Amino acid sequence: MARNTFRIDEELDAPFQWGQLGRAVRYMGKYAKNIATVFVITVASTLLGLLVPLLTQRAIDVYIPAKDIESLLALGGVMLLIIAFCAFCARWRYRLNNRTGQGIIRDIRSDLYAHLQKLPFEYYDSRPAGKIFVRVVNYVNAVADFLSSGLVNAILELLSMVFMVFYMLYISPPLTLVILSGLPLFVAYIFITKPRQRRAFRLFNNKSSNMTAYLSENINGVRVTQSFTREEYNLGIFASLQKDTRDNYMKAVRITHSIWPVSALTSWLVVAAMYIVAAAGIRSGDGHMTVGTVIAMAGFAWRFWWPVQNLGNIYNSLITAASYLERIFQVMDEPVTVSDVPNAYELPAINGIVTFLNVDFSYEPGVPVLKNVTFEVNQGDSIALVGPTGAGKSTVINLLSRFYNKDSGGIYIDGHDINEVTLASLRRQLGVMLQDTFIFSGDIMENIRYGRLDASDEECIEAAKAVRADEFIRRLPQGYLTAVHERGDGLSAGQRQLLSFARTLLSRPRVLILDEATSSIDTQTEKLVQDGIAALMKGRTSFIVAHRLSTIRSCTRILYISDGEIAESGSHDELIAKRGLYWHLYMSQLQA
Amino acid sequence: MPEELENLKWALGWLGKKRRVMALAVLCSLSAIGLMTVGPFLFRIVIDDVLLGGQYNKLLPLLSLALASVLATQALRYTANMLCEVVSQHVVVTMRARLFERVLRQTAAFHRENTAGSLITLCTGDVEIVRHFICWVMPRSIECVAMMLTVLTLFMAVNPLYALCLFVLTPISGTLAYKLGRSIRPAHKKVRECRERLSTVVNENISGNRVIRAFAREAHEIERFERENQAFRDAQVNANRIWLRFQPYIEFMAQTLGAVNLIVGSVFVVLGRITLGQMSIFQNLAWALNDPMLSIGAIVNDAQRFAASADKLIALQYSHIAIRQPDAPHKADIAGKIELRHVTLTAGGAVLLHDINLVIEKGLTVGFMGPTGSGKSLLAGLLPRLYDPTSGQVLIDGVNVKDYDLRCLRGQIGMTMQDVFIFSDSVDSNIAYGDPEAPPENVRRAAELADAHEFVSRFPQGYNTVVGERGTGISGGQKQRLSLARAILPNPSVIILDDTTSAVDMETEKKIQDNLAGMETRATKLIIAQRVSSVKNADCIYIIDGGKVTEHGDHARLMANKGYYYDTYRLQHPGEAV
Repeated sequence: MARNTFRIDEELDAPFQWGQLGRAVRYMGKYAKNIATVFVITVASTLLGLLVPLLTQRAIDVYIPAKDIESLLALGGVMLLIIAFCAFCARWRYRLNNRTGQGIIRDIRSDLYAHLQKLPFEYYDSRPAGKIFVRVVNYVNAVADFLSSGLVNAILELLSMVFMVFYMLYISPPLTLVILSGLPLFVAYIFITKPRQRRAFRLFNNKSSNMTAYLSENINGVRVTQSFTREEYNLGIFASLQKDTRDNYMKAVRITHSIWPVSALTSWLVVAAMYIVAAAGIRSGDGHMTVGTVIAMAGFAWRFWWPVQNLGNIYNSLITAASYLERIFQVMDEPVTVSDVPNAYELPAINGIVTFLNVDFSYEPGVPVLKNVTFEVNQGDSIALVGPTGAGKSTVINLLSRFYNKDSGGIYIDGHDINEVTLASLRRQLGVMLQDTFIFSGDIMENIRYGRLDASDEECIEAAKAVRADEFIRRLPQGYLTAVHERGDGLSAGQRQLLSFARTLLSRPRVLILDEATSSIDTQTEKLVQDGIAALMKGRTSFIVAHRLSTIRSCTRILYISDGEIAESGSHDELIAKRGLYWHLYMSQLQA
Repeated sequence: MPEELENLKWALGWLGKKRRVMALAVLCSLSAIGLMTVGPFLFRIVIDDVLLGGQYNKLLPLLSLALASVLATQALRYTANMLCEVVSQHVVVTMRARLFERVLRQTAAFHRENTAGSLITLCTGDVEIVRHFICWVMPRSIECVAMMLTVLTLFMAVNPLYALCLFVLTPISGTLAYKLGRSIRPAHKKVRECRERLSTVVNENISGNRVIRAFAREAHEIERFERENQAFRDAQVNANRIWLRFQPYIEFMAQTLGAVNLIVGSVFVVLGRITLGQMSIFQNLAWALNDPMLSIGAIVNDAQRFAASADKLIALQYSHIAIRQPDAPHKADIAGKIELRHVTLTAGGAVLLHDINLVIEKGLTVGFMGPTGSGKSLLAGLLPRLYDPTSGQVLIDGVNVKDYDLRCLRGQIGMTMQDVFIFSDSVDSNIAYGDPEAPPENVRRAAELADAHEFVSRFPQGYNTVVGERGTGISGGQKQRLSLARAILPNPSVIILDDTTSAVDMETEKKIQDNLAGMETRATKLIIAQRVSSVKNADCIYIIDGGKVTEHGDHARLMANKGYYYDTYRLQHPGEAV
């Protein structure tokens, strides 16, 4: 598994596809009614708005020479009415756009997040958390404006362009051609710079994602950094990541900002060309070419180029939005490798007979971690997985919980192939307690309740008592309501393990799996905890990865795993009598 | 609005040396605006003199002049835009560096109060809002004010009464803008708050993904997220709604100004107060009034959004760092004698460590045992000043740790944390974390001492293998050994091993102990453990219970004591005869 770090840009092979834009447009479907309304409102108010210059014309050409103040005031009244109507339309449009835009953002974020919940450990293990974070939070925010109004505006601008072309053609086809001749120039500029601009934005995103990854990791590892006094050095790395981000940003906006001058320049060039052609026409006595026509055409030329410039702007935001969208969709397209098979069924309440049959597994191709592992566990057995670190103990547990899919062989619980049942029904019956004791922000009670959401307070306290956590919790300032969070610094590692133990126990697992889960708990507490668990887990199967002999000895059966294979299997007494690997381990510990 | 002024002053402070560049940018954009008036004037001559007057020889010079003015205008505008980007990027980079530094230097207590998600948001999303403020809101408002003032003076010069008729409308727009600012302020605060909460949930979800999968809590997580997602959307919609409720009135006022301009102008012409030519000037300059009036809503809205972020950024920037470099830092090579005198540590009313007194001579190995949460790790954290005691003194070589140069102190204490944190980087970089320039032999030597060399060499890319964040993909025991190698690489005088071998099998632990004992430099070692085997051979073992030292002595003495240590030993050696 190639792992990404803050030093490595994330690759994205696929060139930009218009399909992605189509995908974004699909999110607009839900708001089609809103968007259509906005469209109609905008067309209406734009058309009405066109009356204003006509009225201006009338005031200057007719009423002023006639010195007709009354009509002038009446005209002013009409204009105010039109303006008021336009303002009313604008208000309506803004309200709809607001809802549409924010709704789309919420929907995209929901889908992205929901997909992330399906992705396996591998996805999270192979990249820094910060790089996932920016996609869900920052990138989605960044596409908001474009999706809420960009596309609708683009269509409107296109329409008014077409409208103007017809108008101009009606007045003077030759001059229209001159005015239109600038368009290919402008479009050509966009197409020539487009690949560079896209590349620049993509690079910028990569760099800013690297920077966020580094930021996030440094926040989580701040204590290590402080104890090694690496602050200065890390500031240096951060500075260089910031510089990369800024440099690429500047490269990208250099092109973005050039669109305006280029379109402005083109529009002036065509107007100048139009004057030259018109002057030539008038000079040669072309009857169609009058000064009035030229003045009118000049006016229309500006009105034609205005939407062109706006389109250039919208195009810029399209490029930016696309560079975020492709990253968002990249996550949504990430294959869900561990998922329910079609027709997966609910695993019925299990007794806990676990069978591994010729199971092979490797995290990375070519580096086998488990080789042809076969064993069977009876209901109510407690199994200790022992062996050197890295031999594959945790892997057995990872496969049983289906955190990863095995490469070949079969894993069965009560005869049900775990690949055939739904993940939720499988994991809900397994109480897996990982080395990773994660504490969610909230209070202690909520953290215990995470094991079973409908548990009452009494049940949560009961579970805490069983694992001997009750005592320390009551000593906390607000007892069970004490706020804790993520990087639960306020609790010791042992206390966090006890909490996560209570959480696991509360879930009433049919099979209990403990992966080095009690290593930081003192032995006397552990003894009490074990007694508590023994009562709760009577008749239930359990798997335990541990290094403390006292923990191992109390199990009914011991699997000694070495180099991805089960080297020895049997009860403590059997394995001692065998004088093999386990005996060796046991003796070395006794001597310690 | 003193609060807004404070924020503005704060933002301007960040410009630093780039203040002049910003001034230049504004100057460029104002010149561009001035030049934009030249074009229409030239085209008028084209119509009057060339097309109507037949002076065709004037056409090309006039057009060239127009082209030159357009080129100049656009060049100025482009320069102004780019300069604004340069300045705002400068602000972003320096601000983010300062915030990052603050976060890195903050104490454990601070990090307990602030979630990672909220800190990331501050350094990314909120800084981005400041960027927008510097890059757009600030220059744009200056531009708008300048445009209004210019037009005002111009109009006043031509006809004061006329000008007054137009400017009678501006207070209305001003009032609207002021009201908008007032009512939208709380809305933006709310948006920011929701954004922060959303970030916290998302960040937790990513960090806690293993636990979530293990409990099959995906549906619950989605529900939790949806609440925040919806709240954020609602807050955003609400803030926009307030802005957009005002915006049509602001637009109405701006457009009305155009209509009033036309009608008042026409009437004045009819009444003979101004000429048609003068009126056409007013008409042509109408946009210079219109444009600022139209922008005012967006400016106020964005400024208030900025204010909401600025409040939080300022709070972080000036957050108090409780543990900092002393005024006259003591620098010395540490020999390793440790002394705690009447050390008490309290937090939130709870006494975590109570009147601890102990002396550890240099070069000795000392064990710490005790029940879960009794304060062992806290005690160890006092040495490198991850915490400072509430009262009492911690001395190393007879000098209070508070008097040491922080870098000198921490650099000579090698510490492994119970909660092993591995960075998503190569094994090599992780081991050399305390000394990035360390030669590969040293890295390998440290790995060998920590018994990590063997498994590292078995990785496909050896020391160049990248391990996941928090050390995902490697086992708990491997993580612990990497963190041990990391701690001993700089050859520290004091080594603190906090539960470092709990996930390591006994044989490996024995090997590591022998390796550490055989190190050339005789460091003082503090070993915190739950396993008797980890501390059995120590020169002295302290039992910490409820924040107090309850027993101490070597193995034999504590066994004879028949206290906590004895009980633990018996539990861990079940087969052994008494």
